[in-house]
Amino acid sequence: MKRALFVALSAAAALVPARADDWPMYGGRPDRNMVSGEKNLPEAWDAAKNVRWTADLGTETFSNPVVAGGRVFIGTNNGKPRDPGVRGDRGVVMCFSAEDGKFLWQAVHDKLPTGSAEDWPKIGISSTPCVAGDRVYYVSNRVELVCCDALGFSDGENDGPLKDEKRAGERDADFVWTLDMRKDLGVSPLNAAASSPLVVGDLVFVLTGQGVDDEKRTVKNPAAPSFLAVDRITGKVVWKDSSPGDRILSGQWSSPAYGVVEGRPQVAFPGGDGWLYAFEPGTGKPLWKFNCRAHEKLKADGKPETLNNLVAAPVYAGHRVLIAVGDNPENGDSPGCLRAIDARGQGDVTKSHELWRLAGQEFGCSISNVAVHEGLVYTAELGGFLGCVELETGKRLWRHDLLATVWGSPVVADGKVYLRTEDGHVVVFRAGREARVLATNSLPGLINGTVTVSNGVLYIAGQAKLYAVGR
Amino acid sequence: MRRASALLGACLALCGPAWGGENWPQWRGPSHNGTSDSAGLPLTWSETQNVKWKVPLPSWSGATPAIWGDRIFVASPSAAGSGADAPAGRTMARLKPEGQDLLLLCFSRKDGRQLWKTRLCGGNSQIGKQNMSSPSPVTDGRMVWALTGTGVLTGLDLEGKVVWQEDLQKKYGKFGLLWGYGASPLLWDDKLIVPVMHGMHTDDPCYLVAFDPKTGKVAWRVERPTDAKQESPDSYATPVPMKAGDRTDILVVGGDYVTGHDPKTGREVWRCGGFNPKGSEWWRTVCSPLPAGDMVFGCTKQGPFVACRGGGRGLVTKTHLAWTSAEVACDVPTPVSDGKYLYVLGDGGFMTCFDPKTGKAFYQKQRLPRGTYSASPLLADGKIYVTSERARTTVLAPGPEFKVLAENPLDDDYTLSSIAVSGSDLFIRTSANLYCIGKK
Repeated sequence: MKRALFVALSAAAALVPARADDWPMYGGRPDRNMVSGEKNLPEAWDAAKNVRWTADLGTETFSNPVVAGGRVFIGTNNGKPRDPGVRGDRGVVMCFSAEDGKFLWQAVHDKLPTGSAEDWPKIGISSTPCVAGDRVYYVSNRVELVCCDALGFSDGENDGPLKDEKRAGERDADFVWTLDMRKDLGVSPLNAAASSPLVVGDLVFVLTGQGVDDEKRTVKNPAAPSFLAVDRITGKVVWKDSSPGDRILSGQWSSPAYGVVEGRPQVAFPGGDGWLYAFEPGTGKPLWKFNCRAHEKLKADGKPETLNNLVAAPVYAGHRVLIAVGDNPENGDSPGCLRAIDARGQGDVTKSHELWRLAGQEFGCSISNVAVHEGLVYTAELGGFLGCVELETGKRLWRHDLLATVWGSPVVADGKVYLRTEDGHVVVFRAGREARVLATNSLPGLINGTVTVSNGVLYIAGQAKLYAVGR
Repeated sequence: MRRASALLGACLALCGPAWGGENWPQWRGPSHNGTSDSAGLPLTWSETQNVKWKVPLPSWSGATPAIWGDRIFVASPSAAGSGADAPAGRTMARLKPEGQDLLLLCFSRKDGRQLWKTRLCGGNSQIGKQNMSSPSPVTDGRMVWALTGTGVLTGLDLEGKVVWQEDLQKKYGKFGLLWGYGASPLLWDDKLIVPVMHGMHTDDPCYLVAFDPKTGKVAWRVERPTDAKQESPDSYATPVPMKAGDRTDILVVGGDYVTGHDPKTGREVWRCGGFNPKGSEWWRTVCSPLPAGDMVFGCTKQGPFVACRGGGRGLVTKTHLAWTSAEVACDVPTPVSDGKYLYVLGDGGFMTCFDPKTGKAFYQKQRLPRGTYSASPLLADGKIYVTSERARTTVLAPGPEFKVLAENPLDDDYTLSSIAVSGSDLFIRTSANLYCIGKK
């Protein structure tokens, strides 16, 4: 019954964005494929040209902005307190007017007492929020899955079940419910919880952030779930899965993706053990799994060649899922692998459902999502490359050297590919089978991140500022 | 006698080349700048070509060998499996296991035979990219000194016998760096100078302390103040001497400044800012300052790369900051210069060549073989040697054009140590072996 209900809902759910021009979640859509149908987007800008507005964030920002219903939501820290009564290090989600950047409200979370082991100082909230209707979902620095009212208290209502907010002013968050994955599910993250929730139908899917212990490098509580489906109205756990168990290599900071493959809905969770796991969304029944590190050879001492795992999110493109393997970017460049998997299988499909892969000299470590557009795959490598690969064959068409580390993901829109680099540039390429740089744009204070496209505007977050760029 | 030794010290540093490049007494070599006047160095090698000898080491380390005469001094943790392994703390998951002891080993320069091994102390652990053996040993040919990341400073005779030992953390309080201690001591003017620059896990001040190298008696200790916050006071950089007119300043970088100190008293003579224009609280310093001519070069994390003129007095940011580059940065590798060209190696494998006087780039961010670069480049015998963490050494031609002369792989996956030179041989320390590489 539940399943039938889910299937019925999921057809509608694929259309979750309230407006076609919204970008309500990480990747824009549940398939996490960062392609936008917007036109007339800016190609060149600087601080004096095409910047519509600028808003202050905290002092460190690792979340990407999302846009829905005329509002922009983003995680940051409390480095520049919006509320003079709330000082000190906190995790913060801010809401701004998309039109003019006016600050509307913020959600504030205290730091965890366990410090850098689970909640890195000043990191703020790294989760990119997901907006569904009038609700905002994100993972707090306290490893809670949080549901807020997108309107805050401005609608004159205190939405519940959670109604005893400590702060309930007009610029405070109206929390609807929270699920404490650390306390209630035994999850322990490595340095930070950062997953971006995914809402499809009545369910929120999220990686809990379960990771190895900061000192011992082993998983404290392997039975605690890595993957979660939660009722988006009540905040109750619908199903959970702890498949990566004690094989998690470091952290799990990635996010799930959703696709309907030949009529079969599925949600894919990237595991910290390097496996990609697909489940039936409504029930959590395992569908298929794929070992994305299967290409690695053991070294002479019997140890794995790398400890790469899955930091990027998977991307659904038709019957395919694409994902790159990578590692904590602080560990530097290493050999990686880009994988295209046939998502129609059942069980362990590592041997049977590999479509193609790029590895070794052909593809370095990556923490970026791919973008798939008109039969071409745009793919970034941590070492500083944007590449283009044929979706059908896996044949590499081009690889452009950006000469700067890349953490963010390429976004395809308006015939262009936008990619941010650690040098603070947004490099704009012409989409297509040949590499062509159209512009390299700079704004003050940018480092890593991904461009968000909505309503003819590019939203670009620096560490301390949010820029809205549009013609 | 004391005077003679001071003279010897001065000569080593300033007239390093005159010593024929036989010795590599401390981390950045005889001239404190990663250059050597050695000739006849090899251009190409591999596991089967131009390896004169190689000797297995107990464990991996960021420390560079020190060489004097027939002796090579190597800091290392004990081997994994010899008792309990060192605890793997907050670290990159791929670090190899190793033992808990911290050792100084001595090998024969001629054939790699191990001459002796002395246990300095216990307490090895892993943190970030390093273990507790990152500081490089220092020698003057009569004694050798070793510092550990746990703060144990030891003076030994050339036979490995401990002459004196001091525990800095016991004496002055706990180190408070986010990623563990990693600076090497500087031997200068008959003093062994140790910087302790920290802030992340401590409210104690940063300080410099100088010891009598022969006895371990403290010659002076000064605080080295900074207004940097959180992690930004942390520095892993080694001090270096710089000639400025008739005086020599000891350069110390960290906490958003480079400072020049009087070697006799430790007193701060000047300081220059410009390293952290955005005021980040995560701007720890790893690479050491590089003096070249009357200029000092330095960088923190993603930059800017900073060039300032030495020889000033007081706060000289306004008057002596010569140029900066927002486009180029080196986080871990210390740059190298022959005075005419300045070579800056970015950690992602990007090479830049500046005019050191003007900051004009002859070439900017040319790509080396893919990988992470932690070792500092060596400039010697008309070649620039740069080694990746995977132990692949690219040899470049010096000058205003980017030109790769050779690429030389060795079998390894975690090389942090910079190359040392003696005579016509290179000494490369990978995670597993010490190699003597020279034309056969």
